[in-house]
Amino acid sequence: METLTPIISTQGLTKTYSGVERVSDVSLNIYKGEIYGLIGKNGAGKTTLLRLILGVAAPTRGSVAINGNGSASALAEGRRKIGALIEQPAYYRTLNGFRNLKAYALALGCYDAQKVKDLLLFVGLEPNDKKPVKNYSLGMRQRLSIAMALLNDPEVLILDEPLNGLDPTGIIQMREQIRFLNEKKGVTVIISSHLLGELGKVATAYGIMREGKMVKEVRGEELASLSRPHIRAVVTDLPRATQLLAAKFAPEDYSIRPDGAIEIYRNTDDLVGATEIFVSAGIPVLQLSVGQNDTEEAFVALMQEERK
Amino acid sequence: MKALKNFFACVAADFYKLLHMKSLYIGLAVMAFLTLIVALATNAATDFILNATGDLAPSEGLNVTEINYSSAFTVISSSPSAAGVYYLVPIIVALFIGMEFSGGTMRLIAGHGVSRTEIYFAKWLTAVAVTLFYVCLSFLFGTIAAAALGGDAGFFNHYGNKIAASFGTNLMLALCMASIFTAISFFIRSKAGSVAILLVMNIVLGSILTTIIQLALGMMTSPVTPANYSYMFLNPYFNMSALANAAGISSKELALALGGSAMWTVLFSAGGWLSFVKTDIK
Repeated sequence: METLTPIISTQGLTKTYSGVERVSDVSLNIYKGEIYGLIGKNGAGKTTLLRLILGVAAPTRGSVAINGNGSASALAEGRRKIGALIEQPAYYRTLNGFRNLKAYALALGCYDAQKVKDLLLFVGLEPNDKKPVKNYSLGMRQRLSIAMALLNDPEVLILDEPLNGLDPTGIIQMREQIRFLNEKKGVTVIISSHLLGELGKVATAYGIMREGKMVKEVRGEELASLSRPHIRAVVTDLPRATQLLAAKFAPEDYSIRPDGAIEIYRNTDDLVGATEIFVSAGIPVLQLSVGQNDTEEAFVALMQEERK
Repeated sequence: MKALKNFFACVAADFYKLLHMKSLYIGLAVMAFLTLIVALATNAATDFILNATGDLAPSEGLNVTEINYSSAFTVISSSPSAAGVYYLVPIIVALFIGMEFSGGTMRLIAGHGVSRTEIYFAKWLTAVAVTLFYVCLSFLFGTIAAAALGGDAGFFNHYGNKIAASFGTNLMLALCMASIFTAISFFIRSKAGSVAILLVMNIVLGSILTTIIQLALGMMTSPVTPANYSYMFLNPYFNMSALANAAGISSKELALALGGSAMWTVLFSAGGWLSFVKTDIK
């Protein structure tokens, strides 16, 4: 779903620590109703970017806007409608789950005892458990943090590595909860995760970061094209083949992979036609195959250096 | 109105968390114990004076009642210091604020659009409340101890004004100390670090530096000399000891001590708030 005004947008956002740009000139748009996957290698700047959006870190340059408004008051008001789980789970160690949520809800001015109990049940925790959170397992703390993020019925939910510490059942439950919140309650979700496979099951848009920069945002048709069928060819004369492809196809209809293989995004029934392009130009074809791109592979390629 | 409502929501949350801190109650027990020790020691010292023989024997016509009254007044007026209030409260405040940073909840609350000014001054108000509560309780414990040491109705009639003055000045000082505890805890942002720095400040500024300055100025006991006026203005920790003996302090000295405390209240509060507002939260 897209609307004209993004619910969260950044413009030239940069953050420098000790002279190093951890986030460098990032401009992104996240639209209402999306499940936005923020992906990148360790140290790519994902968490720093989320901290800038939430305002717990101040940008060196650039700006953040919520619903198109970047004024201080609009950001403060907008952030009250954002629930977040950033870095490690945050909690009061000596309080039990219920009291943790109560303390946080009091600070937000939205305390309701029944709602707190319902939230604990929603994330799979027992509301009457008197055990202090310091005795919780990592998975239980993760669930509690998610409950804290959901306390004030947020319009936007930001989850930084939400699957850490969860067992397979917990991962499935988390995925279902994200889908439920997005589809039934219209919550826009931003997820930063290394688990591309899991992210791929829920995300409707992606932001790919590399070395502090936003490499690419992918959504809609472009996202669909990442998993489209292709004809893969390995030829002897790559430079001539590249010139030939540029003359015959639009740029988005083919790509040169890092290993030098050519991918032509055509239906696999066109295999003979694709072969004839090279043969008629006198370019020997060493290898020919058909397949379907793996989205995960496509993202990994984007996170690394590209060669085209 | 909305800003005020948000602020008091923060205050409510902070009081809720504070009331669930075990160290708050452990401190009360420690304070009661220390008051008992001081009362027993004072009682023993008074008995020694009254029962001494030979060269140490008290002079004839010695007013026993006055000596007992003097001991009782000492116990009350030195209550906050004697009960360790300014060692216990900084520990509680440092733990209370430090746990928010170490547990990540400060990041969570600030990232939720809660204004940093609201967060800071809600914590400050909570620190003021804890300090005032401890000071009041220390005076209560001291009064009980004084009554046990012979502080009868005549004592309270005679010393009532001085006790009230001592209590009032300690309440004012509590405001200053709470501001210092809050600001340092926000500067340091760790439980152990804040506890260490605050206790070191108490010992160095409160005891060691005071002693050094007094020796340098040629004084051994009384803080009341013209040369020490600037010191009274500049060192709120010094004033903790000076004000404990409020019976002997003049209006001018009192004004200096309180004026200095007001200055440090504003400076530390402003500094702590600015440092929190202008820096990233990890």
